Amino acid sequence: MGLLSPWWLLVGAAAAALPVWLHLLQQHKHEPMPFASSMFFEKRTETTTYQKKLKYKFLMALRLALLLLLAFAFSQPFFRKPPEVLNAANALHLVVIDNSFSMREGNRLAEAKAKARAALPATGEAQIWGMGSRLSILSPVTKDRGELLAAIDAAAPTDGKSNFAELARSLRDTRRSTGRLVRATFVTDAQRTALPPAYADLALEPGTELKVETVGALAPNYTIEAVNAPRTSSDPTKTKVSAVVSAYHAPTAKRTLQLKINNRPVATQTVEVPENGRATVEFAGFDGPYGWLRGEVALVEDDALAADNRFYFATEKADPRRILFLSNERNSRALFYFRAAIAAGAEALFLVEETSPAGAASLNFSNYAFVVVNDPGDGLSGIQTKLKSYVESGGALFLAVGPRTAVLGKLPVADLPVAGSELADRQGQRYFTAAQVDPTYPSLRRVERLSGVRFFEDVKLTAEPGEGLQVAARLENGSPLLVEKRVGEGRVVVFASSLDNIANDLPVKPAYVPFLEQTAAYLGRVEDKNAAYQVDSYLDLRAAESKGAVEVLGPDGQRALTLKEAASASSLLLGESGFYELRRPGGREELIAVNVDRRESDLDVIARENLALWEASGKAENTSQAGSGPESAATPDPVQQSFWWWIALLAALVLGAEQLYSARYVQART
Amino acid sequence: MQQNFLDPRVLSAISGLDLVAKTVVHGFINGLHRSPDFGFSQEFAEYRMYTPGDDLRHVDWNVFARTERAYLKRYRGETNTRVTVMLDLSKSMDFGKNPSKLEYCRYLVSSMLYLAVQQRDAAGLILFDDEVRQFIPPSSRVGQLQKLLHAVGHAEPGVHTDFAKPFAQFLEFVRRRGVVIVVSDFYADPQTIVDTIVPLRYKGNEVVLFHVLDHTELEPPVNAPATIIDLETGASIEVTPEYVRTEYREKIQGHINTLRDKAQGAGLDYMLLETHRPLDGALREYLAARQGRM
Repeated sequence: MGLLSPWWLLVGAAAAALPVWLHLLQQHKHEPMPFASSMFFEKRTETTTYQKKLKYKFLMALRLALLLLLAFAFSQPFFRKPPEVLNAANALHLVVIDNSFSMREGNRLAEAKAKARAALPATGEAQIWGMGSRLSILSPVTKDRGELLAAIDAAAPTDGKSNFAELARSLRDTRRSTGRLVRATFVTDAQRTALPPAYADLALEPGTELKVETVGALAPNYTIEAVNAPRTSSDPTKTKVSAVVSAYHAPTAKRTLQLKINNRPVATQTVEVPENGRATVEFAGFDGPYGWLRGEVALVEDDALAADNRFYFATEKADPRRILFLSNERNSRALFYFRAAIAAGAEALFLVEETSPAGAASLNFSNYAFVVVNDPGDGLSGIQTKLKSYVESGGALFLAVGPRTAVLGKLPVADLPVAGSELADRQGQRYFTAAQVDPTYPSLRRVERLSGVRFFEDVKLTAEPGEGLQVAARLENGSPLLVEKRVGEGRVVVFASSLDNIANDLPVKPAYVPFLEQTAAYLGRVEDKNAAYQVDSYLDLRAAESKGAVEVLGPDGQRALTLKEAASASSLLLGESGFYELRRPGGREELIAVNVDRRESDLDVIARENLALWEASGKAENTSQAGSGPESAATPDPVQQSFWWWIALLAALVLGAEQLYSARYVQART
Repeated sequence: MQQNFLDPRVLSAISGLDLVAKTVVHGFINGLHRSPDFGFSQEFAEYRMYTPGDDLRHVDWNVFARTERAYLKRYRGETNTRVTVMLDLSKSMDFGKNPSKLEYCRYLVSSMLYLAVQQRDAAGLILFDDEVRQFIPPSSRVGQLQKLLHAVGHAEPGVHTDFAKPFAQFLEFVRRRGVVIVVSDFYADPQTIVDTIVPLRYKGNEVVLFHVLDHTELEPPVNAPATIIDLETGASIEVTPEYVRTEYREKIQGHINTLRDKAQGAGLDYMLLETHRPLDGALREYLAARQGRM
């Protein structure tokens, strides 16, 4: 037994003197007690000191024990627990087959099955696991070899990425939950990319014996690592699709890439891929029908792992969406700059239509991606209710506030107070600059914090960040510059300056185009769509408050969700590569392309020494030799087992006894 | 001072009761105290058959006219009495807290005197310890009550108690019969106390002993060996809790019982008053008992 904090014993010994003093010294003093008459009193004294001591002996002993136990508990005692002896005869045998994507190479899986069969124990209980990115239980814990062999035969490769940390975690959980000696045989191709970043994630519980059987060998492999294609395009013939070809442990070679749209080859290119390097191929446009297109870039030549020679992407061919630009002046300078910036966008997703506020009274705003209003002054008074109703029902409004609007006192639709505006004068500061720019805000992601942009007017807008209100940028004097406010289900983005170059020089700065392009994508809700997902990533199906069923068809054409999941699931695990079709509650359809994690294409193997280290991490536990032969583990060190809380529990019991006894004593004295 | 002693709660509690004197004394003023002698007052008592020698003036002629039998009509005589309160001022009366025995006695005596004066009795007061400290003869004159209450309010603890000397002195002052109320903690031999007081009874007085004790005198809170200091003598004595719990309680209870028995045997009224008991309750209990004896 040992003590982690032995000094507490000294403190306890000093504290133990307190009850001794109270019981043996204090009791000898008699307090004088004035009384009416001593007529009926007779002198009585306790005969001996021993009598006095005896009377309090038990109570004092309890109090001493309490203090000493507390001191002992605080000194954190521990004893060296002898190592747990596990019964090898009762061991649980696990046979784990790596069924990750890379096992599709050659005859790796067949070889793995053969080794798994050989690893099955002659007697005792066993279980078959499949291990890709997640653990899959292929058989129950059973002694039936026939059932175990059938489970091994039924093992099939998945599109998941092998994850040794997940296996280690599962082994730890099994060891802890069963309390049995676990003997696991892991048959794997031992990809280097399966190792976790930290070796600690591989640590096994004592009492876990792991044996790693490797299959396959290092083989050269080429793969399409990535494809960059637009999610939406109004004119795919002008759209560029780029693909990256990677070589893993492969020599320099020419590879032919084929672009397919809806499974129909539309373009072919050849590129020389350097040894262990990458090459980029760019396809200049394609054509196809309106709607969602199933895109694919594939390597024509086969190699060791043919399954990773194609990369899927989904793109939508659609007419440009219209933006309604409301302005009091026709062909204003702001419209000129705005239209030029939107047209300069790479994908030509939007088309700008201009009209006056009066002319907008008869328009249906819901036909537009969003509405832009440039410094309207009081010109919106006629359509303000209609505009607000449009935003509340989920529409979007981009409101540029110039001097004419600043005098209104309150911004239309957004209902934010504004106390006029102030021009930067020549005597003082000649212009304002942007400060406190939030680069994570969608409109401000590629604007280099609006550096170099000069603002000549300070619109005194009052906007305190809070629920539904975000200030994304401020001027250097603290005035809000870019504010987003949620109105109903829609949003209003307020730019506290005009879109022309009168109140600022933003239109003639490089940040202008990305600013408006990003803002348009954000307000038009096209900015956050991925052209391709990876296997094992999650797809958001619905917002928290949205209702209605989401239909999902998997790559095999079957429903990926049950009826209950379709009505309530908020996300979907994309477990296979291929195309997923989504039909959202509003009837809107989407196509999702899912590809295998390209780290599976790297067939480099882990060094045997590292695998041996992993195997040894769980052997720090002693096992009895009953029924087991030479596979006994090394004798581990004893474990420090703290038992301070038992001492504390005992102290609590002593405290209770002391309270009980002292209460009875006081009661007896009175 | 009067406001302190004549607690309205006390007065309201006892105003419904009559202070009935057991012994009829002759007085100068007709009052509420009933006399066992029949006289000429207006309160009818009983009819009695005429016997030769009775005064014919007392014959009820109306009854004679209806029944042709002579009956005497008898009335209750009414008078007042002399109340003398003897208050022990020994040092031991200063014992106790909230209130001390002396404070409690001040309330008690003041209430008695007030009641007596209200009923037109002649009230007097004797303050004593080992001798008579102050003597106010019984009187029913205007201002007597203020005089009595002033004396009670300024009574301070003296030295030890000695009943013999003050009572011998008091016997010399007694001219007429009346009610004598002795208020003390009676820390003396019961036989000596009774022997000292009983001559008052022989002179026709109704004597009431109020034995005032603090509750801690009956059950001293001694939980550990302690040194007892006698308030009167200053003597110290070491006692143990066991003794206080057993022998002491037996002794004090024996003292009380002996005093009660001897007092009642000698025709004295006795009542034990503990200072934690409500004053009005104690008075009501005693006066009710006295009324029951009439």
